[in-house]
Amino acid sequence: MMVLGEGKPRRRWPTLEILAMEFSTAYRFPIPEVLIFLYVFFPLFFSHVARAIPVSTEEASLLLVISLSQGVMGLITLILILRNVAYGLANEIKKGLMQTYLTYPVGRGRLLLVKLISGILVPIGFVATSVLVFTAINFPELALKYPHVLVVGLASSLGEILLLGSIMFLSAIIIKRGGTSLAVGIALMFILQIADLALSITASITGWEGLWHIRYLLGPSLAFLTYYQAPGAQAGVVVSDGETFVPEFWECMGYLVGHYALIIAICLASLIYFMRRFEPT
Amino acid sequence: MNVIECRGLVKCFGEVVALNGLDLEVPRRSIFGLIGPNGAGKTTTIRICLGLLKPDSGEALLFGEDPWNNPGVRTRVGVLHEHMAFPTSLRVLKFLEHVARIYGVGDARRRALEVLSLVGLKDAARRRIGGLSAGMKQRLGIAQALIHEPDLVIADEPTANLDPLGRTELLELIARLHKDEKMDFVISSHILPELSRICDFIALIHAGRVHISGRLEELMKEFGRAFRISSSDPRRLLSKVRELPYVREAYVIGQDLVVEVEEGSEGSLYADVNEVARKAGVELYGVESKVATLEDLFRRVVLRGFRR
Repeated sequence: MMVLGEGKPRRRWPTLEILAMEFSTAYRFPIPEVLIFLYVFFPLFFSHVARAIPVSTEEASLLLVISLSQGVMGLITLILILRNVAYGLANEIKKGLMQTYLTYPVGRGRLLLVKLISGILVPIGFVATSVLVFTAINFPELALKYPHVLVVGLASSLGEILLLGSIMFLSAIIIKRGGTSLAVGIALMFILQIADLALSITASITGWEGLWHIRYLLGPSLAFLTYYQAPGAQAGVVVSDGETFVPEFWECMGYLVGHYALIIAICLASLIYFMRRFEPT
Repeated sequence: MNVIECRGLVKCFGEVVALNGLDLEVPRRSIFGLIGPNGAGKTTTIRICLGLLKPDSGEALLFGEDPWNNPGVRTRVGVLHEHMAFPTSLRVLKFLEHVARIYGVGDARRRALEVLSLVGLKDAARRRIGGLSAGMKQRLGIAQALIHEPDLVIADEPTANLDPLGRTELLELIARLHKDEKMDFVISSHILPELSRICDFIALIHAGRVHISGRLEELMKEFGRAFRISSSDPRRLLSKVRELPYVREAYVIGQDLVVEVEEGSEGSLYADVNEVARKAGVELYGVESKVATLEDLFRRVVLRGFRR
């Protein structure tokens, strides 16, 4: 009989082991290579486009390059998140891999954190690094002169991806099916786009300031673009009393904080559901 | 302390009542067999005991602790599910190394190779899990359940997907690990002869409840005083035999009448059955004593709703 149990027990990092397994599965060849190509190509391309667009202020120029390069990459990132959430989370629940993980000595909260890191935070990390590096390379003087614009611009852009990603994440845990989860994710993307458009139109027609607050809360990058008067953003909107509404910087920060509070609330809802109620199929 | 204790477990999935007040005690130093028909509640019981499901009411304890979100207690348990899922893109050895490190096993690679040898999967160590056959995946499941030398292994249909040789090897391995490594096992299976070969204790679950539970040897003795009576009309004989005061159970299986009697009344049946048959106008072909099997118990509980 072979004797098991020999060898000195190592310090245990079970969460990291599961994370390592996740990375091996979710980011195997050629996914990282394709992502690196895309995340290098688009910022390079859009940084040249951004140089060509006339802007009123230097801050607007910096914000524009972040917004433009993040725009296309944001879509790629969203697709990646959608794939990770639908096939890396919902499908794993359906197929029983989550059940296997749940029998290991890892807390439910940590397991969910692993899924959050692998499914959402890594793609966000990719796009953030890409935008930061290429903004620094192409606009070093602006990045150094206005670091706060760089930070808020990036934070607001990434927040919008995170919001959608966190909703997809919550729905995947509840739905527990890859295909359905994918369909719900795609539907969510369209619904949010349509809702954003409907909100803008209604706000413009009615002139009700409250609707603009809601819109900026859901998309704080628009608030910053408006504040810095970047091309393409409304240079203020006419509200009911005939005055033009341009958000102040502190208001923009308020939208950003509120936006992240919303993301945290959705992530907390996922965590609470997963820890208290979630049962694998 | 029992390794598993369930008290009054109730679990419903929508309209379906999977467990309906299930009580179960799995003692230490045992190979415990959970038997029952499909949909009896075996897998649900196991999943509650592992903290994968939350009971609607009642309590399940694993080593005296609530298993829900309790990583500590899971270090003592190895698990083999009926349909075990693995990260298919990983290689077998790499996966087992990860699992070994999750459980804090020293020298994960060596241990992974050891358990792969143990389950006869060493040649597949470098293969991707996605490319393994169903039987090989089952062996991998057994390997990962044993990798950290758990105190208890919970296995749901462990011999599913294995060929006859693989089944025999697995049963021998379980018996050996129980004897040499003092590992306890809870095994759910439909294959009753296999369970009767290795189990010390059994619980028979039907319709979400434990109907019979105890040491297998004692149950066989208790339910072993049975006779198979061949006659021209077993159904007519049935009603007459039931009138005998020492008859505990009588039922027809195929063309035979099976009669279970009180302890010490075996001789009386031999003496009385001829007379009973004559009075009933039934021609008697023969009476033979019958050793009870798990299948008999299974039939009695499932087909006839016997409960003790």
